[in-house]
Amino acid sequence: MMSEISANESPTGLERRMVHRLLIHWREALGEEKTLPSLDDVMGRDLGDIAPLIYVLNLPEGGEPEFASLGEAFSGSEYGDLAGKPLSAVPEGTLLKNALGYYKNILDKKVPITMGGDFTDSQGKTVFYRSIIVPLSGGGDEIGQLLGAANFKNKED
Amino acid sequence: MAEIISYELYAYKGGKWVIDSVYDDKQQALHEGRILLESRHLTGVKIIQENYDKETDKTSAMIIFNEAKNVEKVRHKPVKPIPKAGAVTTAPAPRVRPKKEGDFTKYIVKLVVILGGLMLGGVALVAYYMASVGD
Repeated sequence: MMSEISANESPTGLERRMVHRLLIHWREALGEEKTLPSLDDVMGRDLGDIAPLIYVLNLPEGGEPEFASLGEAFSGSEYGDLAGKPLSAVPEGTLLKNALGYYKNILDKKVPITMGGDFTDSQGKTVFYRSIIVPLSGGGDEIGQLLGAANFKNKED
Repeated sequence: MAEIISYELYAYKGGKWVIDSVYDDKQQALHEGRILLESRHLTGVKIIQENYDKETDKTSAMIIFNEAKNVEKVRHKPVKPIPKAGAVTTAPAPRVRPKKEGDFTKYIVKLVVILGGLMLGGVALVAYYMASVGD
């Protein structure tokens, strides 16, 4: 276990901090023996204030990923109820749509990947965002689920 | 933008390099790399910067971070062990002095003196016997 890595040793900036803390939780849940941690391994930890920013995707064999659960940040009127729905149901011009754009890279590399950028939201405002997606075990060495987190700030902030 | 830059963080564990995570932010990749290096079961961390040019469809890579820890340097010169303080030490074995060339000369001289004495004694006995027979 990498318990010597403290979740308080964070880089500056809200976006980097979210990425850093989720990486620490994922690595600690992974331990030294496993290839991938399970959803319970990660969600069983005290995720603190990044919990509302988290969503989980199921990976049906041969089909489009579907949302297993979503944090409070992705449950407003902007999104509707996405639980159980596929990725294609995510509205355009939203944080979640942009945050998920690279999910196939995680399936390919089988490691956490973080990316960020900017987009124009439905109100025409420029939004800067950061996203991280980590792979979860499906019971063995193969990826069974994806866990992601994303946050943003407006250009004016 | 025609070029996409990513930073792949590799960790050395179990005797091989394995990819740990991927970043688009150099500062965060370096930060995570330094923290990862502190973990117990890792001895090395590398970060490779990959530049992908969309127009030419070519990728170039370079190592921007390469750190190792707890790597023992192989020493070829034998080191004399230093006894620990308070440790029980045994007395060194007595050294056997090799015989020198002078010892052999002394041996020969002694041998000549002894043989010479015996020969003189023999001659004296023969002379005494001859004198007795002559009377």
